[in-house]
Amino acid sequence: MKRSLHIGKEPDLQKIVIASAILHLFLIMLVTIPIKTRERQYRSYSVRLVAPAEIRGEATIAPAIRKKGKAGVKVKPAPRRRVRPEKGVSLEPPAQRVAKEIERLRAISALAKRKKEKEAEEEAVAGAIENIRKKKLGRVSSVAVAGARDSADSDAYGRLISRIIKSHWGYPVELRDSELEAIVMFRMDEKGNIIFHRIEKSSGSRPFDRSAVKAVLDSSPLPPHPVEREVVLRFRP
Amino acid sequence: MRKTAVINLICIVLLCLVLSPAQARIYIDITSPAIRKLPLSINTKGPSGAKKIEWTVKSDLEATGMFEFVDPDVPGAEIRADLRVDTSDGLKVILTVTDLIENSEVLKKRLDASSMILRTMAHSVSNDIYNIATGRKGIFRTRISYLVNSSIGRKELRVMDWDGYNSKTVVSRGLISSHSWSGDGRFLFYSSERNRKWKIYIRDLRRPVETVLFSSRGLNLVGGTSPDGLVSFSSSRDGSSEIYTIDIHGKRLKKLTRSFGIDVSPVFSPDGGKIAFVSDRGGTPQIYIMNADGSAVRRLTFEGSYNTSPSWSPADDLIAFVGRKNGKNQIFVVKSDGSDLRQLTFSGNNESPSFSPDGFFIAFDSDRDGGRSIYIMRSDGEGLKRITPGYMKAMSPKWSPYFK
Repeated sequence: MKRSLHIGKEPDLQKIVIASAILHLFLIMLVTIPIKTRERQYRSYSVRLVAPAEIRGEATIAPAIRKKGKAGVKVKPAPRRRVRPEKGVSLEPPAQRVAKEIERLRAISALAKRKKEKEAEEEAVAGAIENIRKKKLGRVSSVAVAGARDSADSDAYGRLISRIIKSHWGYPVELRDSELEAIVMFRMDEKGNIIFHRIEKSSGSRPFDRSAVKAVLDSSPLPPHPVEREVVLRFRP
Repeated sequence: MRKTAVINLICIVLLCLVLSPAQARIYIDITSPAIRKLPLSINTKGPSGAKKIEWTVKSDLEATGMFEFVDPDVPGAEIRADLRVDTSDGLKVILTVTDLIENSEVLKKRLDASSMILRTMAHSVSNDIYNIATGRKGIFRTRISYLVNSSIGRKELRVMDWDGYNSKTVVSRGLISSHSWSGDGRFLFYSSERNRKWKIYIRDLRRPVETVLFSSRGLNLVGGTSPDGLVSFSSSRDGSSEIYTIDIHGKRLKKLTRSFGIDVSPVFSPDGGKIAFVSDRGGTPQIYIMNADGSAVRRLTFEGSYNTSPSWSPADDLIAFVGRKNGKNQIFVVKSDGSDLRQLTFSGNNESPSFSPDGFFIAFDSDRDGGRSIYIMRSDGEGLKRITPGYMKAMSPKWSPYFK
């Protein structure tokens, strides 16, 4: 019985060869696709927001934002920031939202004042975004643009949003541990509103994860980027 | 076979579909967060006792220096704790903790106590909130044993909550000197002079039972306890004061040091593998470390000519001790390899440091405000707080372990 079964399988060899060819093809694809996306290296931008001399400045800005937030919120009950992006689609945003926007811009400009070089950098970012936009007009596929993007432009944008998110991130000194690492992914819409976020790798410490998510959510809306919509952040103390 | 080939193909196509939209993402590293406190709001509802619970919880959490309290009506908090207090039939508290960033309820707990007093209940609530907010175990239900000069030639042994409230006298007979908790927090070991004899006693805190652990001629002073149930002490039964260990039943007596000088104040490391003690074998009292079997003795402190009262942190590689500087006794901390020496106190005379079981706080006594009182501070020297009244001559605090 066993023998006959064995013989019965024999003629399928050809099919096995075909299947193996397909699998080889698949393997090749598996190898080549990661090459395209291999530049998944985390870039650190040395922003130095917490240089000893600047800690005080940082502290004075944060409460200012909070106070304004409080004042604005009293008009309307419990507006969660996370809900906001959906509302952001409406053409005429409520006055309160505008006020918040202004206050955020103020916070950003205050940051710029403290560092002269930042102004120059922001211009560079604007230029970089403009560059990408121009390129986009000439292309069909956004992925292709992303592939062909000027790495300098991308760096400038990365530096900008890294600075904004960092300015919203705080964590008690007492709880710091050099081994903490949380990876948070978020997606934004064309206006820079954060519409989705997820913890890709938990640090194992709930408070640390929470502080990272809060930094992301508090940074919304970010300056929009014509191409990039997904950002992965690695938070380490 | 056809079928499997088709299934294979479908699988491959699906996999490709999954892989292909791996569109360009930006990867960014973010490090060095700003120093910030955790914004917390506490919302209490219930009769008059409810507010008292809230105050105690706030005072507990405030002491850690990690929290910032936000009014419950104002947004900005990351964590909200709701307390529903009911005192109609015993004491009931329903505690709900909400993570306001992810907008999810992370804890709902019913604390029920017919006999528990309000403050104890509040400390339990503090522990729960602290654990959720920081991921760490709170020490708010631990206690501190200490000595009070009750009259001339007499010292009482008392136990109080970590914040100084709810103090109770445990032993009032004789002149009590050093004391120490057992690893599970059930027993207190102490040295007491009665009828001109110094003995080491054990007191069961659940029952009013006192037994003698060790008795001999000379001065016998208890030091500390190890996780495997050994008690370290110094005894001058052979003339000069040496370090010994003994088990909790008074058996397996071991002599660990044989030096010409005086060896006192032996305390175990948290794992029980080492003992730190004070010796004047080098001419001045200094802190030494040896293995728990008495081998490998090395000197830890070299600064100054007077270093005593070692206390080993249960959590970190840190030893607190008293060092004399400019004629005043101050609290210092140092790593067990002798590095990173730091002075934590700067005014008055400060004695007897003792770490909380999480290593976050240090209790000690000081005369900085006139009379001798017990204070607590964080292990970085911040957040100083006096916990015994100024008129009471309170000293030698020993922090309990976590209670099981």
